[in-house]
Amino acid sequence: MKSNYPFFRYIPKDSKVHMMNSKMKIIWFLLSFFISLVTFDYLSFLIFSLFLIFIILKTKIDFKIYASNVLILWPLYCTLFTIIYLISFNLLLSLLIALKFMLIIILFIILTFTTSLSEIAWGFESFFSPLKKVGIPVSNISLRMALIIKFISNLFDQAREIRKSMAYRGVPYKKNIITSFQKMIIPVIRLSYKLSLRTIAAMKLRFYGHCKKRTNYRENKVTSFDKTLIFIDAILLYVVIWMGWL
Amino acid sequence: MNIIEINNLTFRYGNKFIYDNFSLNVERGTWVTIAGPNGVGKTTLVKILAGLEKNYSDVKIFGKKVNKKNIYGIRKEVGFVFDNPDNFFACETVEDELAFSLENLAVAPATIKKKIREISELLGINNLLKVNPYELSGGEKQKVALGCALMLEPRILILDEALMMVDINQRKELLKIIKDYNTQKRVTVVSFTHDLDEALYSDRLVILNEGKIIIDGAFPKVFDEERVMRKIGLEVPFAVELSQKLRVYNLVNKIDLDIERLVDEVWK
Repeated sequence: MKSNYPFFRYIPKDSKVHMMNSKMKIIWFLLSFFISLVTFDYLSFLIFSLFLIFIILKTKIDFKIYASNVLILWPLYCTLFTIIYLISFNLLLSLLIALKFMLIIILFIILTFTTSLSEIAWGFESFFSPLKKVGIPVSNISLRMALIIKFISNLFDQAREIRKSMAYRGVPYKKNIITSFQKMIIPVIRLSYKLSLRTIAAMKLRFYGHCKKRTNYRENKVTSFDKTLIFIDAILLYVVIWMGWL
Repeated sequence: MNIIEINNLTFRYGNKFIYDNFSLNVERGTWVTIAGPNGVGKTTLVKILAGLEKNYSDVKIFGKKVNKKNIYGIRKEVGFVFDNPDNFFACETVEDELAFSLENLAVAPATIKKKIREISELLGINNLLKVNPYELSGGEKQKVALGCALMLEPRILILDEALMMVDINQRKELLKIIKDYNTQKRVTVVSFTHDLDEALYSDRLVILNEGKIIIDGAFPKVFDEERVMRKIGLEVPFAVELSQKLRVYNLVNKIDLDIERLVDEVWK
């Protein structure tokens, strides 16, 4: 199953998740991220997964797109599972950690599918704005983080293009995955270096980092949906921690 | 009054001189086309004007030297449109893309909203505001890139092979928009191209070869040097070619860029 939407790419829709206030969404994301880290039993894992499925349905984005993006990383889940198993010799624990990693990926995908680059930057900026008082350039760091996320999605695109063009020139990708991967590494590195130089030039011309403060022209208002989501997250966090102690 | 002044520019990549003692002035409110074959240094000149290349020569825009100290002030009033807009985009919707530069300059959100409405209506891209710029066609991408440049209300618009990816109808439409901007708002336009058909919208044509100006003049007189243009691999516009052929048979006595008029002349 292949998707036209690589990692970390925004998919415009008019869902409630898309329309969330950037700051509230970042708070929700960070809370959910924390929940996924502290989940160590199956029941909490199940409850949190159901909560994420509910959010996915609310995004109005085809479930298949999520599935294809999550499953594309199957070698990573398998590697993690194998490493944990070799260290602990505990099958259930290895499975739980691999699944937990998958949940974190789902969480990142929900954030990036429903939040544009400038909203992510703005969300982080407003969440961490108290740090500005101690002289930390929060605006720049936030935008830089958002640009890195965008860069990863571009890199996926480029890798796909290289793979296609090499296949046209007769590289047998399906026969030996490792050899074909080796053949792709150098062009991908070269292309990403070029891409980074172009991005730097474009950013310079577009006044990135020029002013200490940035503005965000389309800040969504905080709605009851945003508050409910964070409230549910807070309760989930409490439940997960409580169940972990039992 | 000269809005761009380049005096004795010398620039080289390694040992290869791209420009050696190169000088060029551009008057305020004019449209100058700088043409030349591939590899002649057109993009290098754009980069020098944008302050993206280190150079120690005398290049002035608005009377200010293009250097580290002045560059941000200059860029605020110069709009750039490049050949491949994909390299320029940073956001995931056209709306965000248009707003990006002004957001970085900390312009008030209400002003940005107003400008987005104005520019998107002018370029006919209101229906694309929620679309990912990477999913647009070549022509639409160039319209968005032009929109990003116009959002700054520039005094100078620099186009680097900006209409290369665009089909002929959209190219005409975009050239007309730029021409209106040039005449009505007195915005100076400097376009770099190897397509001389595009140059017909401008007031002056400068042709570069091996880092030197070999032809510099106004239309249609500049096409008297048609042979030189062909020699360096440039294709002259159809109207010029037709005029030259009709001249051989004494059907017209000068180069005319209006094909309708040429047909009338022959018909007489």
